[in-house]
Amino acid sequence: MKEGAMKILVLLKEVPVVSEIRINRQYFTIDRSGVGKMMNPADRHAIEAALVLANARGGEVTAMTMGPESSESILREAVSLGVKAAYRLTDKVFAGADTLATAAVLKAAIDATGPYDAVFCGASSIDGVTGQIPAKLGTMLGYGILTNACKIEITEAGLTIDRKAGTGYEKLTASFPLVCSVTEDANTPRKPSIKGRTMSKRLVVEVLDNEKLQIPAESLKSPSKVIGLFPPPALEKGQMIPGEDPEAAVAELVELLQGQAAF
Amino acid sequence: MSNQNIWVFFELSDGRPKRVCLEMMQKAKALAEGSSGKAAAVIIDPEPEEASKAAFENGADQVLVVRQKFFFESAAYILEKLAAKYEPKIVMIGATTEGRDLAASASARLHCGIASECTDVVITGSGVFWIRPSYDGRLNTNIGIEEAPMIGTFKPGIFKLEEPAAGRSGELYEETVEVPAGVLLTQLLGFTPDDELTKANIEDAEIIVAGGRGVGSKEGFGQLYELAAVLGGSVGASRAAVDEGWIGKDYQIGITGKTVAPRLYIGFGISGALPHVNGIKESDIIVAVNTDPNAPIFGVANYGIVADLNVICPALTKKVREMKG
Repeated sequence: MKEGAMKILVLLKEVPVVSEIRINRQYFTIDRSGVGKMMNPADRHAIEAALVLANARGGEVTAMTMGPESSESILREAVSLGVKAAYRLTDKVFAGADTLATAAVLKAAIDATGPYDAVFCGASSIDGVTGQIPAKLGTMLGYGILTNACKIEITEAGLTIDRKAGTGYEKLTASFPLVCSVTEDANTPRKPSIKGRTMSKRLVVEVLDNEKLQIPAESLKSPSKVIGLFPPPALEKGQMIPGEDPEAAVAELVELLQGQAAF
Repeated sequence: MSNQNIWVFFELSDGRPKRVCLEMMQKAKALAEGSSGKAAAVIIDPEPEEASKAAFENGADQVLVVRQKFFFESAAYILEKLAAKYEPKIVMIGATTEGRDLAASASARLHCGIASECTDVVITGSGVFWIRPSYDGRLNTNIGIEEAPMIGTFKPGIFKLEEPAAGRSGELYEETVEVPAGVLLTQLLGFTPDDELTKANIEDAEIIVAGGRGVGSKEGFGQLYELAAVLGGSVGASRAAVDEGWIGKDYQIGITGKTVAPRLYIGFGISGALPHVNGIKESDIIVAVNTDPNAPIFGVANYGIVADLNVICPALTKKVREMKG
């Protein structure tokens, strides 16, 4: 790689196909058997943003995921798109990690394999949907933090992003090194190339466990724990207004609503 | 040893606290009532007077004020310092655009547990339990955090806003925290309002007219926009309508969209799947119109009409127009 070229990282997550999960309301159980796995949708857009930056500035993109062996397929998918190398982080002691412990693991891996000029990731994942990792990781690394980017502009020293904020758009900027999280409307992900597919088949994923990362037990503690799952409470049935005569129905509804000072 | 105090971070907009902060403040007061703790507001702003007043009136026993411009990076640093000094048990932060980054950054600085975008919080003898939706709202996850401090974030509309206690006051503490230069690595360059997004700013709407699969087309939404205009409300949609491309994602109400708590919600052609219902259940009044008498929404609505929305919606618009003169 050229002198002065950028080192770019993209963080990926393997998620279940949420709609396929069967939930038993009576026993509060979740049946994940046979449920498909996929790359978190927003991550594909993070890969695209990373590749665009690498192309514009000269540099290489590395992918990283914390997950079981099955998650290597999303690393291969990334390589088929143009990512050059991939790491998988795994260890018994990472199990049950909440967002704090996860960020600690990612930070250790970034310290071990970096330094990186930019770390891209999806704005949030479809299973946890916490959107916690970008700002948490950025704070731990001491990097600039640009979240929920729907538009990315490459500047002299870093990135400027647009993101949706209530009634309009905010524009934020930070210099490298930075963490940038990307939403699904930020770009159109490219398709895999023939060369990419070949590289993807040849890819040797480097596995990093805690023996290599040496993260102290204290940093791997998860202060928050999932205690259980339960169905939401059922709501009370209301009042039905006969619908055969629309004029009468509307008149009755309006009277009821006025009685409640609804409008 | 930490105390039982519950903090609510106040995010301001032009000196006024965002609605979600008042909602959380009232909840914090209710939570503190059952314990030895106090409810407090933390305000970072050069002119915190109006917000302090609102904090007391909405239930704060104490208000901590830092006279500085708010940005999530410096605010996270300030929260870290304040928490080290005052040792709160819980910090509640609104899940707004900046609030989410503030909460994540603060949780890294505090090395603490965080439960994001919760629908409720319960304090018992054995710990604090945060409820948040998962699996598309079909099941709720109960997250337990024992160690203080801990952070919980809430979207607007999760807690109902009651009348404040006008004139109520409490203890005011002014703190000075010097934020080192290296903390601010990100810069907010500006904000550009966008009309399209303004129309979709439905979280604060008092009246919402929502459409689902039953609306049938993009054109079908026209009658809903008309009714919303006449009522002085906003238009929303279920995921089905958004996925069909009849209306933008910013109008989506539900677990993966926006949570709303209007005075009046009228759902046309919405079946009432759990993810959507979870986004509207704090509404004061729910009205549902659907041709399917077995639609789950009728189990949730206060008033239901089994009829064709293409007949009811225009009829309702006409009636309201007549009434309003």
